[in-house]
Amino acid sequence: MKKILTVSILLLIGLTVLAGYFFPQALGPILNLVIDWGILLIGTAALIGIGYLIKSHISRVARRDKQSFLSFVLLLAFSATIIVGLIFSFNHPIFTDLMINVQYPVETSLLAVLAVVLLTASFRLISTRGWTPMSIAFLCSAVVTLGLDAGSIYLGTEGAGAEILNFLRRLPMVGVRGILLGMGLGGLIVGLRVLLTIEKPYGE
Amino acid sequence: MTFSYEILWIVFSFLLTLMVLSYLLGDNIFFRFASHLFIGVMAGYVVLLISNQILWPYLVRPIVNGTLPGVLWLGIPVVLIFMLVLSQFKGLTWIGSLPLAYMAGLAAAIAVGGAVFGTLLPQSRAIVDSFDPAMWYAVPNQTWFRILDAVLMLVGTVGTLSYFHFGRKRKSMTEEDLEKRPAILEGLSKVGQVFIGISLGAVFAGVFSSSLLALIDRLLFIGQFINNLFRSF
Repeated sequence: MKKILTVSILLLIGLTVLAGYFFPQALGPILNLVIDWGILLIGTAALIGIGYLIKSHISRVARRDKQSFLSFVLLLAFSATIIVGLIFSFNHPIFTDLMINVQYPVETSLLAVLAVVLLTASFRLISTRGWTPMSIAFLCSAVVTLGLDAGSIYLGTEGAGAEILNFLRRLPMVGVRGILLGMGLGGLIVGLRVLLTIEKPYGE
Repeated sequence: MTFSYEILWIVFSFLLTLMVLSYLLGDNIFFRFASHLFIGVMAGYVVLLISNQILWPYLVRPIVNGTLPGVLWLGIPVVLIFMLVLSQFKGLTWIGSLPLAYMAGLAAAIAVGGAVFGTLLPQSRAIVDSFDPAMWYAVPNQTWFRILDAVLMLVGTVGTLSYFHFGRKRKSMTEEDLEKRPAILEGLSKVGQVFIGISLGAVFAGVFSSSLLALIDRLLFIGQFINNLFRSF
C-alpha cells in the first residue's frame, strides 16, 4: 500500500509538471502550486542538511576531538550570523557588512588561490599525460583564448581577418555543444528512469 | 565611531585574506580557521535566507494572512514537511519516502523538460540551422567558409558525443569485444578528443583569467593595507 502511494505521488507530480510544458495556459495555476510546494520541501531539506552539519560539529566539540577548536569557530560563526540576522533585519547595513566582509575576502582569495592551483595543475597535466592530441588542443586553445581575451591577437575588424577571429572564438563552442548534448541526453535518461520507477531515489 | 567600525572590518578582511592565501604554502591551521569561519557564516546565512525567502513568503505569510481555502491547501505541504522532519528520527525513516517521492517526481520532470526543451532541441536546432543555404549565401565570397564552418560544427559535435559513447555490456559480449568499438566510432572519438581539448582549454583560460584578476585584486588590497598602516604611524 505504502509503495503504491509513493509511486502514485511520484507519477502524479512528475506527469503534472511534464504536462505543464505542453499546456502552460491550462495547467499554469496547478503547476505554480506544485512548484511552490516543491520549493518549500527543498528549503526544508536544505535546513535539515544544515542541521546535520551543525549536529556533527556539536558532537566534535563535545567529544573534544583533535580539531574541535575549528568546529567551535564554525558554531560560533553560525550562531553569530543567526543572532545578528534575527536582531537586525536581513537587509540591515550591519548584517550586510558582516556578510560582505566575510564573503568577499574569502571568496576572492579562494579564487586567487585557484589561479596558482590551475597553473600548476595544467603543467602537471602535460607532464603526466604527455603530448596527446587532447593535451595539445587544450594548451593551444588556452593560449589562443587568453590572447584573444587580452587583445593580443588582432586580425582587423572586417574581412578575412575578422572572420578568422570569429571562427577562433566560435571553435570552443563545438565541443561545448557536444558536451551539452551529452549532458542533456544523460539528464533525459535519468529523469525518465525515475519517472518510470526504474530508479528509486526516494527509497522503498 | 564609524571610522573605527570601518577600520575593524578592513583589518578583519585583511586577516581573512592572509589566512586563505596562506594555503599557497600548504594546508595549515590558518586556512582551516578561515574556511570553518566561512562555512559557519554561510550556513547561518543560508538558514536566514531560507527562512526569509522561502518559509516566510510561501508558508507562514499565507497561513497568517490567507483565506480559509488557501490555508487548507497549505495543509498538504505542511504534512509533507512534517513527514520529512519526522523521517530524520530513528525508526521513522520510512515516513520520509512520500515527501522524497514528491521531490524526486518534481526534479525528474524538470530534468526531462529542461533537457529536451532547454538543451537537446535548441542545440540540435543550432546545428541544423548552420546548414541553411540562406545563411551560406548571406555574405558574398564567404559561401565556402560558411559550409566548412557548418561541416566542422557537425563533425566536432558528433565526435565529442562519440568520445563519451557509453555502451551497456551485453551478456554475450566478452571483455575483448567491449574494448573494440566500431572503426567509425573510434575515428570520430579521436576527432572529438581534439574538440573537447579545445573547449576545455577555452574554459580553463576563462577561469584562469578571472582567478588571476582575483589574485591581483587581493595583492593590491594587501599592498594598500600595508601602505596605509605605515602611513598612519
